Amino acid sequence: MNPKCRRLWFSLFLPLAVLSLHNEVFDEQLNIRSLPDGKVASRFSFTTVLVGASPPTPQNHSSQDDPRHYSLFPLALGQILHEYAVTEMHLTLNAGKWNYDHWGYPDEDGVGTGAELWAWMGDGAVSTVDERWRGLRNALAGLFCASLGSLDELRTTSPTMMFAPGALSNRTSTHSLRHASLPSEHVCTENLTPFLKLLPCKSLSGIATLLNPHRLFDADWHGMGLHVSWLPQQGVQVKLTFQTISDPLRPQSSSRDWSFASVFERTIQRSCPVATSSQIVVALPFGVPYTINPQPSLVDQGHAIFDVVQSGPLDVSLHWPSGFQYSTTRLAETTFSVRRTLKGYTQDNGQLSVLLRNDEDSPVNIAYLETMPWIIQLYLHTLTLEVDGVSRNDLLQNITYIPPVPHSRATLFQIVLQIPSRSTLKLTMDITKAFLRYTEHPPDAQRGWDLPPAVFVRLDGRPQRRIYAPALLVDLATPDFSMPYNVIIFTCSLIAFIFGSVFNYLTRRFIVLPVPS
Amino acid sequence: MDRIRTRLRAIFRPEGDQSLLRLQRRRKLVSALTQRVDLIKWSFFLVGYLWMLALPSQQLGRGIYIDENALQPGQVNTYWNWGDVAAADRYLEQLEGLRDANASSHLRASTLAAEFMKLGIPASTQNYRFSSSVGTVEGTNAYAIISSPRTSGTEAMVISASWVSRIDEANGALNLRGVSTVLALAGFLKKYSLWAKDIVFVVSDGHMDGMQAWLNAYHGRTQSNLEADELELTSGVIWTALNIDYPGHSFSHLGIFHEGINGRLPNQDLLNSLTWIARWTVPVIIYDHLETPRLQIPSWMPNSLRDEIRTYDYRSRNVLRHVKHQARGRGSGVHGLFHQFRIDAFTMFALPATGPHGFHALGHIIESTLRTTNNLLERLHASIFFYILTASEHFLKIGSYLPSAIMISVAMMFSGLKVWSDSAWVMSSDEKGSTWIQRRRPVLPVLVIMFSTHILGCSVFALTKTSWFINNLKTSSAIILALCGTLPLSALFVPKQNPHTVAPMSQLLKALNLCFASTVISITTVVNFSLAATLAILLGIPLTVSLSSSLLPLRLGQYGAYLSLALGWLSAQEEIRSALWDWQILGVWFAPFVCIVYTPLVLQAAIACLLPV
Amino acid sequence: MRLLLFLLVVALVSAASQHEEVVGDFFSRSSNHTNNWAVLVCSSRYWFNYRHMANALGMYRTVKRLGIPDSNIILMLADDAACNSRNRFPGSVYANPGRLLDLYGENIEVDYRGYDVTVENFIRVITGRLDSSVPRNKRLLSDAHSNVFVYMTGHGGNEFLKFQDNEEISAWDIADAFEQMWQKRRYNELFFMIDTCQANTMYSKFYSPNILATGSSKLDQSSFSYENDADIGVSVIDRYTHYVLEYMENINKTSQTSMADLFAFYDPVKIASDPGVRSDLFRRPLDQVRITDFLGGVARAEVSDDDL
Repeated sequence: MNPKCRRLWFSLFLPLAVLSLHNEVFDEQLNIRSLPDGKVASRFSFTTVLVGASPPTPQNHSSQDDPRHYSLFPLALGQILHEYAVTEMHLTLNAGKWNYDHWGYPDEDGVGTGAELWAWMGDGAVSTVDERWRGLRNALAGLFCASLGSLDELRTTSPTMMFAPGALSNRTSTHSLRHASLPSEHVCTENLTPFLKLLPCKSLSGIATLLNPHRLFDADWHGMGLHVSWLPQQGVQVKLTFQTISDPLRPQSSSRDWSFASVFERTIQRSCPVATSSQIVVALPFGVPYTINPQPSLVDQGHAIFDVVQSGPLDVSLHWPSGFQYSTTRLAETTFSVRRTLKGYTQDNGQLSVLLRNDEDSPVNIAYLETMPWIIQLYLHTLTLEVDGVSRNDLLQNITYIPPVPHSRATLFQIVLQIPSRSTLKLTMDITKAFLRYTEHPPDAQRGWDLPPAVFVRLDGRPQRRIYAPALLVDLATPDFSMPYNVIIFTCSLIAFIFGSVFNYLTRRFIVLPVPS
Repeated sequence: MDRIRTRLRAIFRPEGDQSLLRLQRRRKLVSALTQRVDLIKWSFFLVGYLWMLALPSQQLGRGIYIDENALQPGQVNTYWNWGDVAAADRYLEQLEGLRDANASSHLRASTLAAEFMKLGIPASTQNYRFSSSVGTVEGTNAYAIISSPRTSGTEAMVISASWVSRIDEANGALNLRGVSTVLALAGFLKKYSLWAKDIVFVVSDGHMDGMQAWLNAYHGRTQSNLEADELELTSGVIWTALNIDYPGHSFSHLGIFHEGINGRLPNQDLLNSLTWIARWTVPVIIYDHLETPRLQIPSWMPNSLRDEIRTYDYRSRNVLRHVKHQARGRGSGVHGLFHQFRIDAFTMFALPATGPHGFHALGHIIESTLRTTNNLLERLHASIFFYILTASEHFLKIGSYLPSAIMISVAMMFSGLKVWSDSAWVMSSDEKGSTWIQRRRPVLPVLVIMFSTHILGCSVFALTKTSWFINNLKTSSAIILALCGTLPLSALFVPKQNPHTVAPMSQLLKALNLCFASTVISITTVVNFSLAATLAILLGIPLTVSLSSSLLPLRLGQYGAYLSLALGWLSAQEEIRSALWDWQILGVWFAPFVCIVYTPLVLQAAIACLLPV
Repeated sequence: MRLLLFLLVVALVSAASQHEEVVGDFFSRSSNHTNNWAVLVCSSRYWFNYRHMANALGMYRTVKRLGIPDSNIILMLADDAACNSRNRFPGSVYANPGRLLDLYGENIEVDYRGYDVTVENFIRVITGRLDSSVPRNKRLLSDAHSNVFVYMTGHGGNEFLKFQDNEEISAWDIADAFEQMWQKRRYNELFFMIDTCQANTMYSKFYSPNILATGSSKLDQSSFSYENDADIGVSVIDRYTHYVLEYMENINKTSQTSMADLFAFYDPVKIASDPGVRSDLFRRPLDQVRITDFLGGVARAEVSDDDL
């Protein structure tokens, strides 16, 4: 069927779609900007709004049986949200390490490595929030082909400050937050396939045609996100995002020109017919000459906006005639940055060290969240804060600490700090590493365990941006897996033999006694 | 049939009371052993020393193999090309300019960091300063970290080159080509997204000191005499490190140096991977001596025997070199500093020659090695950590070399136990005939003597740590010799005890000394085999044959001999200086070990000769 | 009156039996199955076991091409080869040196991946004893008319298969799991294919009916990898699976090729080991069993003029 014919059929069916119970609006947008180190950051955003809907209430979620006639809103997701009465949910699957110094703040906040899932669910249902959390994890694991089922109580916490909801329905009394992250999770085509299936136009038309897995998963950093939230004025919104940082300088290091064909190896052939708006927003460089091809439909405040619906086949390219040279000074794109490391090289203990740098002229209040698995024990009494070698414990304002329970519960450690202007705060804390049971080791036990990224939030006023520190690797003491029983038996035999012999030699003496017959 | 069975039964299960028979059998066995202790002892010594001599032989070892399946060495195409070689040449010119302009370490390090930044790799420098009694050492390291794309940055591998090469280190021969290889590699490796670990490039200042400062800062370990900047850039956990040492213009062979600080060795799979990868391109040897015949083999030897002798000659050189590096505890290069952090590392030394290989061959081999270590998904844990490489493709497993030192220590233990049990009995002859009577063995005075020798050793060591000692080495070593020589002479004045009631102290001291030395050797075999073997050779027979006599000149003569064995090391001044430098800056235990363990042991044997019999 | 009733009953019965004949004939000409399921398991992790993942993905592609939809395929991959940071070609898994065919493609669903591929999960999937929270696409929802194709690959030995290098499943475990399937009416016929070292020992313990099994090598024989790709740096496929997939390239949805043809194609010299077949538990003769009965998702439809 040629495109014109397809459009005809769509336009016939569109009014029918409108006749469904809720009005559904689908928008898509692609933001592209070039970064100072020559890389290209792109963010795909696909938003479907179920106008006028409100999140399912926990009291009667399982008995609610109203038919869900969705045409654009993904049905599989809608069923999951209803089943587990989820008000707000965010799932991100990322690979790579986001470099805040070079790339600034991301368009979407959730850039922690691996899988991160957090959800606000209302209390008061027949099933508890934890049971629904479990069901939600498994359902999403099935939907996205990810191992989210492992986000169990060993990794789940309820942090209080970091993950504020957008808006919570006032029909339910209280909502609870559940948050878990799995830094060792991979992202691959099997996660992208269901992601695309949740879009109305799949990857056949519109901006989603650019999502070529062979290029996306070659990017320096890539991650997808699913964000479900309730906008009180509009309705339930499902936003699917995909962010990448691509490097046009990787094969050759002279020019930072990029185009859709060079970055994604795809071009947009036609627009998605059911999209209300479909835009490509390119941040234009300033101070250097450039050429952009084709001419944008609109240039607004340093951004070139292309309307995909209006233009035909589209391949945007940006060309810098003056070439590119790497900067020889350290880049610092954000005024606040974080560096977290785990010092120590034994399998017994170590030291967690966090450096927080504030380049602004005024002090900054931040909240710092650590959700460690129980294998790392933090020793709070060794917590020290130093600025330029001077101990400054007054900068610590609040500590929330839920200690871990070995083999069952994760640590929740949350503190509020103030960092003075133009200074670097160094936070250190001693830790010990647990000795695991023989069966608790993962299959690649000699590699170690990934510790989830720490989350930092600036508490001053403006929209809270979350900053993620990279994941850390900690290696714990491992037994000899190849022959555990041999080792135990051999050691015990040796000790028994040595002890027995020495003891006998020291205490036993044989004397021949004649026995009178 | 029946007759055979009855005869066998008579041997293995004779008639009579079983418990009594068991006792008798045990008695017979024990007495058979105790009567022949001397025979057992000397045969153990003989077998032990012969075994040590046989270590380099072909029959004892086996060929190398790759145990860790994940490595898959040499299976991958390499893409290093002549453009990268040209880049390396350009860096070399720049470095030679820095050398000719006598640039300071700080300028050099910041130039190198700027070069890394020009390639788009975040880089930084680190200043450090060691203060020790041997002198202060300071410098600046330059390092850069490629954050590999697509990875979470939790793991890292290091490629390093020290500014000073190991060849002629005292005169400061530079490792310019090694550093330019590292720079060229940085530009090359950045182009690929197939690295699963972050790659850290380190150009350390000096030879060993720079890397020590860098590693301590990376792992957050503080050393009291080190002031070093904190590292501005860090990456994940380091698992493997590759150090490049390329001092000459071209090279003909690649030498592997692998011994680490305090006798640790890297996982053997890493070395075997290099041998496997390079085997078609560049011949790989261990250390830097080639297989040149030293012995003049008489012409009447048959050819097969001639080959055996030649191989033995070459391999014995390798083994001696290994013992020298490992026993000293200093390791054989910069890579030795990594092992204490559980990082497997070795140095690739390009043996200077007039050809035929240069940057091109080296780059291919390094790229392939990096691809191999990149394949690791877990730390190296499978293969062998205790081995002796006799040739690049031949090695000895622990079971093939460990028993040699153990046998000697067992022989010493038997000797000590025999002396101990002999000292409990004395033959006394009176009118009725000669009988054996038991006598007392006062242990406490002997222990006091032993303890005081160790205290003496500790104080000698404390003395060596002062700067006065280093600066006036000749006089101070003479003073120490005099001190240690005269203080034990007070043993001459110990009153002679009645040999019929109390065992002579010299015998007891010898017994305890032998047992203690045997224990020390046994324990050291698993920590640092070369040190244990050296101890076994130096202490084995001398301690066994120490005996007192009634003639004073003989006693003094023996005392003098043992004293020279104990303190003979005072004459090697360069060695003392470097051992103290190693201890203070690198944490090598050789210096304290010699002062606190070895010298007192020999002194105890010396005192045993002095004490009246 | 009674005669009329009797005649009516006879007529009805004969009509019914005639229809039964037609219906019975329809079903007996082929297998009794109405749907197909496939369970493809790669049980070894790590980058150097790329070839095991390529084995499973090659089978996945074949099975999808021949018509089994993703909803009926359970694919278990113990590690991520396509997006592994060591992979020079991200998002792709190749099965031959020279990289002609990308097995990963752009439309793939992996149901169990990474640490989830365990012996416990495999047996739960096979026997259907899954927790209620496990979603549909992770369940083997086969019924009494399903033909199930089970393919396993990894490192194995005499009557065991290693999962993730730290646990093992034995031939007895699989045999018992299949017996549970039979008792619960979870399969009509089952085709078991395994490619590991000493593979034929793995099916020696089966005792449930209607199982056809084949393996790549017999006792004390190793199964070898095919060839190394010098850009990827590891072996990309095993010999046995390579030759089986090569044979399958000639099969399409309408092929009538039988299992006997496939087994006759086995060449121990090329495969470098002795593949085996076990058909004593299988009731139909092998030359009447089509390959698409197990590997294809073909629903048989016949147009009939009679009204039934």
